[in-house]
Amino acid sequence: MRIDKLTLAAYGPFTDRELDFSGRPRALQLVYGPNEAGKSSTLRAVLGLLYGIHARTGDAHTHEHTKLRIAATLVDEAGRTLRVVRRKGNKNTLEDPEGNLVAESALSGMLGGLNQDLFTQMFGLDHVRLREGAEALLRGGGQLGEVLFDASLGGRGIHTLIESLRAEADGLYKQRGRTPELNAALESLREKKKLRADAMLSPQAFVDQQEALAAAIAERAQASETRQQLAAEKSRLSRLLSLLPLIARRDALTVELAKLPSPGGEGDTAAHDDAALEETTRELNRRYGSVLAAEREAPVRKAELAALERDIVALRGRLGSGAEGLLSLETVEVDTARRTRLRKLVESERNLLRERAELLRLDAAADQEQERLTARLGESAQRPHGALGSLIADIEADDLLGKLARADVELAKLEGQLARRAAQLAGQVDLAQLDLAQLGYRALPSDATVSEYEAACEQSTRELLRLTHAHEQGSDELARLERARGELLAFGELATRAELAAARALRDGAFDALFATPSVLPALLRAYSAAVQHADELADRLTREAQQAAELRRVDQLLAQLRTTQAQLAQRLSSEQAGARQTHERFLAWAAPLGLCDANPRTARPLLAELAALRAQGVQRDELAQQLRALIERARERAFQLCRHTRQRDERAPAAGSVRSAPPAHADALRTLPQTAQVTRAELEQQLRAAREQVARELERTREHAAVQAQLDKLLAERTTQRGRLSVVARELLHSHAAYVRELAEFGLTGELAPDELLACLDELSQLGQRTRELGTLRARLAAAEVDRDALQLSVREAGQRFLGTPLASSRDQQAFSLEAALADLSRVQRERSEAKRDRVRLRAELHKLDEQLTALGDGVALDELRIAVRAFEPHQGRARVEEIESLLEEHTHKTSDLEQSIGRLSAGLDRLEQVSGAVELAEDYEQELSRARALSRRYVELKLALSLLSSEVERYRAQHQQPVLKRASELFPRLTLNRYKGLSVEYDEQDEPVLSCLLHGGRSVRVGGLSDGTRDQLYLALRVASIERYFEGRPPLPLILDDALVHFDDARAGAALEVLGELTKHTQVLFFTHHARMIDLAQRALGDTRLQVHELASRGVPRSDGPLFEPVLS
Amino acid sequence: MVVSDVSVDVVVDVDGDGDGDVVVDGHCDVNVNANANDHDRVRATTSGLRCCPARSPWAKARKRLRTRAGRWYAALKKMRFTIVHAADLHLDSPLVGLERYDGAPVAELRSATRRALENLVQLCLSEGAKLLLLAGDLYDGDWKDYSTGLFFAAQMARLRESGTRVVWIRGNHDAQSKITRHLTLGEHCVELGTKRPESCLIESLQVAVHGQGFATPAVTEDLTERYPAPEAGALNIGLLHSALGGRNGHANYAPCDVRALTARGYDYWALGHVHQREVVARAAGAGGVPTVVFPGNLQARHVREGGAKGATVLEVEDGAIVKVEHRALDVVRFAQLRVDVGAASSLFDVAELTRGVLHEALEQADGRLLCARVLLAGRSRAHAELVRDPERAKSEVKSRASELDLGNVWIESVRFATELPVDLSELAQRDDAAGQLVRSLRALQSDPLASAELLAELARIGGGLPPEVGLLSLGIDLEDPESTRELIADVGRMILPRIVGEP
Repeated sequence: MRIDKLTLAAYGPFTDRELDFSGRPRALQLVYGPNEAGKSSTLRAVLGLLYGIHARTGDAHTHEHTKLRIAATLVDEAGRTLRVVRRKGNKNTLEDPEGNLVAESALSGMLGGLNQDLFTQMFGLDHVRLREGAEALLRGGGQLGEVLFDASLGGRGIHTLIESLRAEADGLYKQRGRTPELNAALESLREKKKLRADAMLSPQAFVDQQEALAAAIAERAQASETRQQLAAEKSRLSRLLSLLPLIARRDALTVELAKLPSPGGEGDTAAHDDAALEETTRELNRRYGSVLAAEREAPVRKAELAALERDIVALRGRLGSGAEGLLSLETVEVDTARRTRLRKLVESERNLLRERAELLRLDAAADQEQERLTARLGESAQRPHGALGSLIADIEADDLLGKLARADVELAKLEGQLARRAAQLAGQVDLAQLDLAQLGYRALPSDATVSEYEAACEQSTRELLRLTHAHEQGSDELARLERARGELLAFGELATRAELAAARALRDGAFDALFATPSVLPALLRAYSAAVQHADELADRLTREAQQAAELRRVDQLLAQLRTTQAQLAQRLSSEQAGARQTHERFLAWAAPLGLCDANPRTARPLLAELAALRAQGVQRDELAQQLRALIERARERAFQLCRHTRQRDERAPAAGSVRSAPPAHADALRTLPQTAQVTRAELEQQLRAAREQVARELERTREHAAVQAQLDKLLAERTTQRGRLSVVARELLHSHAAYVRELAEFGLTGELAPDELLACLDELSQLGQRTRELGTLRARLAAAEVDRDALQLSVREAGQRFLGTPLASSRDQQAFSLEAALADLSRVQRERSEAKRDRVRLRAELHKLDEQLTALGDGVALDELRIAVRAFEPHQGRARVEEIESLLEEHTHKTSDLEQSIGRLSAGLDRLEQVSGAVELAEDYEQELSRARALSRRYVELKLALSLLSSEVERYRAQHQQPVLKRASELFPRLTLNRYKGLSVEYDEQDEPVLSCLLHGGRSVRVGGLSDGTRDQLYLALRVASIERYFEGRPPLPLILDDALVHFDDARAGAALEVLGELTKHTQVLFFTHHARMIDLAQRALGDTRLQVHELASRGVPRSDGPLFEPVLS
Repeated sequence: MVVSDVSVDVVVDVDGDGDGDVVVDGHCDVNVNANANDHDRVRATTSGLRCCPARSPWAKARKRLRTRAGRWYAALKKMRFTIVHAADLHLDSPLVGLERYDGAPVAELRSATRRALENLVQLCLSEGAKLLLLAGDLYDGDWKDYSTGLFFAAQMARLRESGTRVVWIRGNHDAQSKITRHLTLGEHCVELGTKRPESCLIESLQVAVHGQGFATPAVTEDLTERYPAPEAGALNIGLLHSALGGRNGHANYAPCDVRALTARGYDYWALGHVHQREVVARAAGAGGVPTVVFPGNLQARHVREGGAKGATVLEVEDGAIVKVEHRALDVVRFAQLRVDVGAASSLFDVAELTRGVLHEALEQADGRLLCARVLLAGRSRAHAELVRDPERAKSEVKSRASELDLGNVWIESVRFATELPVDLSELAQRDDAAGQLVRSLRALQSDPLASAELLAELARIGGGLPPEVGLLSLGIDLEDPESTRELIADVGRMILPRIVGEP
């Protein structure tokens, strides 16, 4: 494949820059570009064309990313042509000149499937790579296999690769090493393995631990049992020792109890008798005290008795004859019920008399009040108003006057607002066009309509502005191009190809004439010479002016395009303006009637809102005015009705009744109410107001009359009630007096006894009864004291007989019986018995306590058995045995403690064993370490295998390619070194490995390490060219691209290298990019014009990209 | 069929005076003749009541026993319960192939097999399982730590408290296990013998489990031939540790086939040994093929055991299995994740793509720790960068994994199967060094003769390594062309970019 034509349509600093390599396809294509001429961009464009423009290319400084375009004409080895355009993009970036998509496979097929990396590796060479390849030769010591391998691949540094793999492998593992990573991992692995094994709990160890624990527990149980037996024996002996004194004390107490006197009876009976004796003694002494007290009081009581008898006699005397009836009775006492009844009768009669007097007083006062009210009622006769009153009440309810006044205020307020708003609009709206009165009925455009017009106007305005701006820019560009064209033509018209063709035709004609007419040879020769000179001049001019001509063509093309564009813009501008006018006219069609002649849709929007508000207020004002009119009509109607009713009442008034006062003065106002609708509003309001006042006064009078009537009615009702009550009181008085008389009669008194006298008599009688009862009581108490003494004597005798068994010594003589002595005997006996009882109780309690202690100490053994056991017990032997047992128990305590500790240890150990032993974690650690070691081992194996593989491959390549490649390189190397060396040969180093050697004239040889940098560069170039030639044997060629690869060569060796490269053009296309002008001369000298085609990239002074030559491929 | 343990209390009025004189000991036998008519299917007797005069109080007692046994049998017919089938616990067997690195979730990985067993026991408790079947390989044969057995015993004790019966057999790993030999479990755990097949009849469930464990680590005969005939009227289950007809990666122990299993006439075969869950056969009606299931191991132990691991739950109703389903019980999930890095142009891109794949796998792991082997594959511009510094690439992937889901991912390894973005076939046609190298690599992978020299070199390299990291431990078998082919491919991937790729 070769590139016939490369067009940088839009790339880097270039626009439509074309490099035509088709002129001399077999020549070295030398592309010269001084600094900033775009050489590097051109080089990147070649790769961009073949493999896509890099996503982050730095060549988009003049053209936008999306506008980048590289076009090319490619020809394969069969002569097939492929025209493609590469655009910047992510996918489908390959197109044909017509913009149709071209499959990448079409291009990759021509490239032999090489990707960009491989392509640049194989067919891209710059001075950096050349030097790298040379240095790789040096590092490899000229190992022939590696040299050839590297040269084949474009200097990848196989030696470096092998060394790096070897270093990595050695860093991983050495058979007897310690520090390499895998060796260290293996050491760690062995440690972890040991730890894991140590941490494992063996089943036998666990079982042994279990069995040891069981044995210890059994031994502890046995020791515990023995200890319990000893403790029981010790307890028994100790108990017996402690029981000895208790048993002795018990026996002593039993003897003492037996010595005490026996009680009166046996058991409960004796206790009962003792208690009865004590109780009887206490009761008899109490009764004796009472008898003594009664005997001491007897003289006083008798004196009281005599005084009472005297008081009664005196009282009878005071009652006198008025109470004869009463005193005739056996008893002086009147029963309480009767006395109470008499008092009630007296009280009732007194109350009735007081009530009758009060009622009579009230009746007299009511007569006076009735008279007064009747007089007032006669003064205020009722004035009927009927329907008139109802009508006026309706007027009041309607509040017609209030509503009229409020409507007036509201109307005035609205009128004011309307006037102010209209004044505000006056400056913005032509109010002359606008009838405010009719505004309420005028339709205003909707907001959507205004928005539509506004959007249309804005769109139109923007478009007009854009078009105008574009047109102005176009005009500026047109002027600039015209100026550029003028400058290009400033020195006259440029030569044209047509002129050159005509000149050449003339020259050819002259030449033909020269042969045709030898006779006029001199003239013809002059003519021919002139024609040739003219044609040459034209050709020279064409060459010189080629750039100007191209620029002129470009300017002309641009001018033509620009003019077309300008015309189109002008047409669109005119059309847009017409559209804007139409829109505005449509706007004015509805805006003008609204007074918005000078407004546009944007300014009209707020004005329309104001007009809408104005219209709403107008409508509100009209509605209010309408309401006011309705109110006035209603008032007038009410006034008519009022007038009519007033007159009707006046007409009926004479027949209304005799009780009628004279008509008031304001009645005239009602009678003069308007009867037609021709009354003014002020008159109407005045009359309505007067009527309202008159009616109010009449209503007040009516209310007053009704109040007096109500008072009178109430008074009459109260009088009726009072009179009824007076009758009742009179009847009750009669009944009460009759009952009083009947009661007195029952006492045998006449009814003439005044009630107060009767009550006083009753009180005296009551006192008399009381004294009489006290007299009886005293007599009874004196008699009872005698009886008590006799009864006491009898009781004392009986008690002596009962409790002592014999009569008391003091009472044996009936005559000389002394109550005091008998009671003293009885008390003495009772004290003696109590003391014996207390002793018995004390001894028995002590015995009981001892029994309880014995029972407690006896640990359930019966008391008798204990006594037997204690008696059979030998204390000295018992104490000796207790001491022996204590010693044994101490021994067992130590033993048990040891066993407990042993069990604790065993149990804890078992618990630890039952828990996680840690072996699991250690096993996991081991596995993780093992995984790491295996990963390292795998890497080590791969590295070692790779080393082995590469070594064998290098050797194999050497064996296969040494002869042809070395032979060709041996031919090229002398040429490149200007015959400083005569060829290359193979020697063997200390390891018996073949190494490359450079032969000097004279039979000496120099190995790679002995070469200068430049010569080493030339050696690498020789090997590289030889390998490329070998590669192309039987394989379709691809362009070789060199970028100032010879920068480190001197001129002579560079010329030699260019010659070699020129020969390489027989195999493939060679594109040589350089920014050194001397390379052109060197190439021309080395290759001549026929084997060289020079392409110059003129400096345009544009900034250039400093990006890498071989950028990464677009992903 | 004879069923005992029927709990009935019968008070017998011996002297007929209206009160109870003798309390029969609350125990009777129920004889069920499966071939008889329904009304004759239940016969109830008690010891001492077999012969008794008619109309005696004993006869009345017998009648009442019959009635109660009949009710009990009817209840049994309607019984619904759950059986759990698990195998290959390999308790405390460490997870292998996981290389520790900074940021690896070490704590989450600890005692994974123990936690999986806890999950199994919890499953039994939560499901109210009446029976747990363990089809062998409770431990690893060479694992000697007795605390493992104690832990197992403690877990089984939890089942005793809940009334779950356990029937188990020894697998090839248990045969020589010292733990198994010394450990005693509760009465609720029944081990079926290793010398001959044994049966365990659980009368309260009407389930008969038949099985035989491994007496030696390698049992090569078909054990099922001597398995007993099915118990009439019961649900019959065969417990077997076997590779069946042979399964990849598992020794073909106790070989047999589905036909042999079917011939036994059981309802269900609870198998163990194969670590991949597989429903070998599904029941096809009475007398047909039984349901045969490998539940897989309880917890995967290396990356080749990917996917969910757990146990199989059987639902039994009216004496028949009505539902078989798998329950995931593992706590660590292994996965081999292939990441296509064709679109990546840098290591950063590769790491991002890997993160996406890991995230997806984590979601499938359902909250478990994910141990992932990441295989980076595809023709990629990033290939050269990956192979130039594989450790950096691995670190980058692990770093991304650590950022995911609170670091709940362990990168087991990062493998490279990426290729240069070049047409190797085109490259192979070239006459230069690169073409020769590609051709050589291809020949080494496909031509045994071509690779003989390299294999010899490989043997020499491997011979210099200790056995624990030797070739076989790396999965490289010189007799296995596939393993050497993979190694050569890896070597090619390592060096090709340095020969023909970017410098």
